[in-house]
Amino acid sequence: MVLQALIEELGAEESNLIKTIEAALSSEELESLRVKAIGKKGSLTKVLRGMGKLSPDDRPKLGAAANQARDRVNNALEHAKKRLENAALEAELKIQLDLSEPSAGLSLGSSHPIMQVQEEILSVMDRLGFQRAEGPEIEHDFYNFEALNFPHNHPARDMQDTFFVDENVVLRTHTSPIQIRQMLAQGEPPMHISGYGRVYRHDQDATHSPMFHQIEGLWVDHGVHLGHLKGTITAFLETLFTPETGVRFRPSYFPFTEPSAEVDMSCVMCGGSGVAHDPAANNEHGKCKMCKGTGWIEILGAGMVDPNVFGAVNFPKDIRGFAFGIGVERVAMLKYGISDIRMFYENDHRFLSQF
Amino acid sequence: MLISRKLLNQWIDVSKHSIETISDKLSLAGLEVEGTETFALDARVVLARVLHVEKHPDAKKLSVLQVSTGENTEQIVCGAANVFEGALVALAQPGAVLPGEMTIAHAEIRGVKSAGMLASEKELGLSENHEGIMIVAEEHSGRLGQSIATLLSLNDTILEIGVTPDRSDALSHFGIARELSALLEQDMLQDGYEVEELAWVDAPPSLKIHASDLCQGYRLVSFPNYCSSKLADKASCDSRLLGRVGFRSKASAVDATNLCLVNIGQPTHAFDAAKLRKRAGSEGVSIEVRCAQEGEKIKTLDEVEVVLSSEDLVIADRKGPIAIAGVMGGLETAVDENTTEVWFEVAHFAADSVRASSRRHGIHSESSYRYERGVDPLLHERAIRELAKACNASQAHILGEQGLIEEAVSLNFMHSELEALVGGTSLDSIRVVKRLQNLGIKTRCEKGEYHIDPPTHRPDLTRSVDVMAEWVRTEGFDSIVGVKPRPAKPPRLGSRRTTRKHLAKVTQARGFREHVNLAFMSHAEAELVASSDEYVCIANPLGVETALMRSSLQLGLLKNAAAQMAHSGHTLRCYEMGTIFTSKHSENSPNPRQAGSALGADSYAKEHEIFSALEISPSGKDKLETIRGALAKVKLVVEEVFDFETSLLFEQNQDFGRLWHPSQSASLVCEGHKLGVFGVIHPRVLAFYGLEKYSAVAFDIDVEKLAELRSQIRRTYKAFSKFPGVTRDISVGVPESTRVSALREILREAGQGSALESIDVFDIYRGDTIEAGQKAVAMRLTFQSHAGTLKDEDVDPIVASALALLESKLGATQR
Repeated sequence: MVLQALIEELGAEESNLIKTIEAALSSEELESLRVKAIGKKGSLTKVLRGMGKLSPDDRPKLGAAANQARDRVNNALEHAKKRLENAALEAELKIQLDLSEPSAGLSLGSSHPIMQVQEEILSVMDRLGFQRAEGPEIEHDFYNFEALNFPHNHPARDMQDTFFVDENVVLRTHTSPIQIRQMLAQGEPPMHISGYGRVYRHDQDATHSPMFHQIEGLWVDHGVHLGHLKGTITAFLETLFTPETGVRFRPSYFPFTEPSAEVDMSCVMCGGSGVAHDPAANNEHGKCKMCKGTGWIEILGAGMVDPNVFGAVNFPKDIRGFAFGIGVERVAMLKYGISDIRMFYENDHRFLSQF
Repeated sequence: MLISRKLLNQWIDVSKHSIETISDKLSLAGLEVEGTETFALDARVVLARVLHVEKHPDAKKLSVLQVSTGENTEQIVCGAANVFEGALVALAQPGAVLPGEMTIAHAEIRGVKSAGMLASEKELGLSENHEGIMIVAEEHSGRLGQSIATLLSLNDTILEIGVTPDRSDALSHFGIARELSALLEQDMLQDGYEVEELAWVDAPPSLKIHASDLCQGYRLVSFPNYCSSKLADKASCDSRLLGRVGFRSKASAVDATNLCLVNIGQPTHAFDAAKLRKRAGSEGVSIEVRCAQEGEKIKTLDEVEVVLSSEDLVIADRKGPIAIAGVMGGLETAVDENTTEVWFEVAHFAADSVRASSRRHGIHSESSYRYERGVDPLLHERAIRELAKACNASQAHILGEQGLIEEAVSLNFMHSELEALVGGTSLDSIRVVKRLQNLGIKTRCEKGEYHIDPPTHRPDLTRSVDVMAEWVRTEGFDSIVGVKPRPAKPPRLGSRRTTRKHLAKVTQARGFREHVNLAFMSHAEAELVASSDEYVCIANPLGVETALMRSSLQLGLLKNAAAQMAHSGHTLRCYEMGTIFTSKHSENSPNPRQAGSALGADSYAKEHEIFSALEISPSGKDKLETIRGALAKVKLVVEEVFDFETSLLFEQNQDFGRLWHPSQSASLVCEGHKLGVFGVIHPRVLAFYGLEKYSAVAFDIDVEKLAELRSQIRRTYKAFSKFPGVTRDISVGVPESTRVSALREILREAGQGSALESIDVFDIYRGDTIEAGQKAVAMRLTFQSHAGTLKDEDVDPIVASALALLESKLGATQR
């Protein structure tokens, strides 16, 4: 009979515990209930202390009943834990935060727009197979003029207003001296050079700066002809701008190339139609302001390398090559719709942060 | 250069071509038409005759006129003083729009109706003359009511052409007509004007050329019965034409020389014969073409006294120079309104000599512009005809002669060469020959080889490639098929480039924006950097602000910051990558012809590529605290730049130059190499830019040296310990003067041979709970072993000995 009484006591304690567990409101409470129930001094364990009064036959029966009771209490604890976790998660998920509040911390800096455009142009030239090259900014007349077929006392020199350091030393007026240095250094064809850097002209207004950036390509190899010049420049402009870019070559004159051409591309504003979609981009006659209604804008100078240039660097007589040069500021101004070149050198962060 | 369609029509009939066609043809052949301007006088401005003049009843200065347009008679109110009965005038009828958008309407002036306006030349855009209404010559009297524009053939279109320096042949209407003749495949017109040459009877001047290498011909031309004042009617027409192509009208003899210049490109000069005779006195006029004597003087037409050099070629009489050959005439012998007899100079001077004189004296004239580009030496006959035409003369006295004209060298090239240049397209040699001949280039083709005789008007054609380029120019690039060249080796990525990328990445991540400044500085700015005179000076600077090449990038950044602070006032972080310049002493200036190659080794100045970064912020209440904070933040960036290098040292108390704070700056030293400077900008420098209230922390790094160092890095994987590390935090009090690097060194020393892995300073405290002049430095020591988990007894003795060492060596007290 003792067994029966103990089992009943166990049952009462169990149902009591389960009731309390189901009512528990926090995980701390649950933990203390767990200890109270099944710890060393727990209430279920306490019932087992009556084991001694039982006959050896009944002992396993009480043990089994106690185990079952403990399992049920454990289940109840597990269940209650899940219930509390779910409730906590639900509560957390109900907390609304205002994500329109401002961000914090340092914002990223930036490359200068001129440098971004320079890198963009150079990376297009990388892909076309040109090798980047640089050179001194203060140059001897020989590299800047003479070797490039600008004879002394020649009116062609008036094309480039020059800063002088002394009679024979100038601030380079273009990146072409890089060609000369590279050809002299390598001593023989082939050459695939993209020369780039700062250049200087004695000139200052809204579209001219005394210092600006230039990039030029030089491609020298046996069998090079005008078709290569045209193909390369067309691919270059189509990659730099859009595949739809129209390209036009107009004969011109540069001392270091013969024949020479100015290269026009279809206007970035009106797409070559002469009339821009945006009426604000048109002038009082309804024509595109950027290209003055012609549909074309001048973008670079190009030509076949003049034999006198090859003569100056002792290249073989039958060698041919082509060269072209582009102004980085000009491209940046077209790309971003900037009309005053001086903006670039004021470095106002209200300007720089836009690029 | 400005080209008048009307003048052009004298040489080639382009009337059936639109101005757009002409512009396109020229532009696509390398003569870029940069703009066009059309002069078209409203057809409602008509010829009228003044029939009757009477005073305005209500205004003293006005008259009321009855004016006939042939069919109708109109009443006009007019204020001009020069109106008279019978005058032929230009009547602007209601509705007419005059230049300057002035619209004529029916009006009532002080109660009298006026059906239009009598116009002045200025109102019609014909000249600057506004001294009364325009009076039309009586010869037009039969054409009342006709449009003035048609009557006086006033309408014209002006083309502005950008002529490249090689195309001296295109610097005239004749030259452009010749070009169009080839491009439009249309013959030029013959003018048929003849001039009879007479002997020079009346006391001819003597004439001698002393420098025949610089003057290949000199003629004096005089037209009998020439009297400038008789030509007034034609003169106003000529001056109108000249005005439109950019020449201010002067004495009519000068207009004649200018007409000759714009028509055929031959510069000429007009001397006042009477003035020459007066200078010569009884001896008779003697003209010489010679080199000037050193120091000889001449006052030129623009009233500037020029001191001549022995390299200047001059025209001189017995008393001295009367013109600088090909550049400008002298004032004393120039024609003026009283001139009655003119001697025209028609000559040919060497391009180099004219250019040298023009540059030496800073005189740039239409004449020198053409001579230095190359004037066709065979133009003299034509020039005399042009002058005669302009002076209405049919006879001329001519003295002197044309010198020897150097014969152009014949050129030849193979047909296959031309085909190879254009990319292997097959060409018809007959077409090539025809095209070149149309351009005035004598050409024949025999057995696949072209034989070329370049004409005297094309001094730019000296090599076969120049002639081949003529084919390309006139054929156009559209005929060429674009192809890609065969591929080259893939480009390599230099260490300089990866270093620049690294610098940009590290600084941009910390909010620095890149700046690009002009690479100049002023003398005052130079003084801020150093006191030496090793700057690169520009001989012809644009201004004082840009007189020198910069020797520091910080100057530009500070200048930008000053402008920025004016409107922002927040912390500004910026950087720039670029060249700084110092001069090299001239004795080791190498000769470029022998330089052979070395890239940049034979440069003429020292050029260094520098990376400079600057953080500037308002100093706040505690300036020192602001600077400490800024130093800590910017130092992090410096350390990230040198992420590969653990031995970066900040060496203080050195000579950094004037730009840096002497006690708050350090050299960046890596493996014994000085790579840059990090620290605080000198307060004096900040004051120069008006930045007294700001604190600036900055660093400069030599990009080339950094690139070299980085190129030697071989990154290799180092195994890290699998066992947890043990950390001990210690805090010691030391005097303010004790450097944190000294604490570190002692800890390193104490930890030598132990498992001490790292020392991190995580706090430096100065304040109330510590003695003044002291700081508390808190450090975390991390111990780590690859062999196993460390126990307290492995670590504690090392910490204890470290603390003891800190105390004995630096007097540090444990806190």
